Amino acid sequence: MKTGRIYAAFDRVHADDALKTKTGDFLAAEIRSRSRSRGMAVRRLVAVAACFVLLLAGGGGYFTWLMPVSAISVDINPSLELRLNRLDQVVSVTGYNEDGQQLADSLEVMFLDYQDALDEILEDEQVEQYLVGDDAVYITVSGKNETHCQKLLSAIEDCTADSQNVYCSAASSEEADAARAAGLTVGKYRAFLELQQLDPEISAEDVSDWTMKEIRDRIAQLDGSSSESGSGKENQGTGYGPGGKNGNGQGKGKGKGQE
Amino acid sequence: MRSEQEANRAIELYADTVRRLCMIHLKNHADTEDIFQTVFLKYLLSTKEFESPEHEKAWFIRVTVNACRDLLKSFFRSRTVSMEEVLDQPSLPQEDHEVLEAVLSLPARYKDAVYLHYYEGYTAPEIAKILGKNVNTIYTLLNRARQLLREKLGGDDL
Repeated sequence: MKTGRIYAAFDRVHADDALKTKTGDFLAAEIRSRSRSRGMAVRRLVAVAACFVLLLAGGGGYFTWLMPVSAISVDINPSLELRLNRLDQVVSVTGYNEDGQQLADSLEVMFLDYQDALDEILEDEQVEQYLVGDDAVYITVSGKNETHCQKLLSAIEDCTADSQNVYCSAASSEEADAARAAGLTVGKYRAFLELQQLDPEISAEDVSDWTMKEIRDRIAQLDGSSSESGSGKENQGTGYGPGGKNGNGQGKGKGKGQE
Repeated sequence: MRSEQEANRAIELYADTVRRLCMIHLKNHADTEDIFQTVFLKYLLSTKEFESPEHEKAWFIRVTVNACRDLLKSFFRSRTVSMEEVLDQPSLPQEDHEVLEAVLSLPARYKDAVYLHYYEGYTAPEIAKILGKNVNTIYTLLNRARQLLREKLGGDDL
């Protein structure tokens, strides 16, 4: 019904240009101010998100790369401990006696895979000198994750299958902590506990500079048996906790026998 | 939020409609400016997708009517003004002036229905939908408005 007087009258009513321009200007100003404040909000949000991601990445990075979760101790005379991250890379090397400290300083094994790091240790001149003699190498794996430790242990056993006088074993993280508290590597700590059963006078400090062979010889001497050393390639008890094949259990039994 | 281009397009298309609705309800130019800013800002910030130009136009009518009602409820708005200021249109012929004056003098509830029916060409059911009222109410409003306008303006050609 677009005819009639009402239609004609309303049709003469228009929004004037000034009103339209003013409204357009108002909207343009609104768009600018809102996009500015939105830009600021977005920038703020991006900054917060970036901080969060950095924090997360830092935490995750530390968690993955720097936090040690397992350890491999190597005892010949040099006693040292390699601590490994979740990727089984070396994140710290600690010498537990003078020789061990020297060896630790000379090694460049940081962030190397544990097998490469072990190869480097066993091929080191200083270590080879010991191995030419009658000394044995005791490699002990420890960590909280039992399955993972067993995996590391079997890989190490495979790698060292061709080497003479290399004894591999696994230990619990509690045992490893106790060994660290005593200032010894786990391998030496186990031998020390065994020796202490036979000679209660002996202290961890006393044995820290002894070679593993010396400890084993001393055990054999006190035990009245030489079956301990020179028994060839033997797994020293791959189970967890004290009391592997050469652990506390055996020490006690032999001790009583001597009485 | 819509773009500046979209906002300018809407101003070009719907400014006259908004202006006419403002004229029906409001008493001065400053209030009209307020309504223009309110309505087109609402459009700018709205993310509503319109199905058709008709749908969009109906949205503008509804939003303008509601904005005018809100403004009329406001305590601070200017309340007294001359009819000359309301019909703030240059070179309006005498006859049109009389018709608009007659429409604007109708009771407030009749004016939207009259404008939407006689100028925009909406049917009573369409007006009911836009204004959110009962269809029979719209028929009644239109009938009464028609009677009043005939009394004031004379003749059948409204």
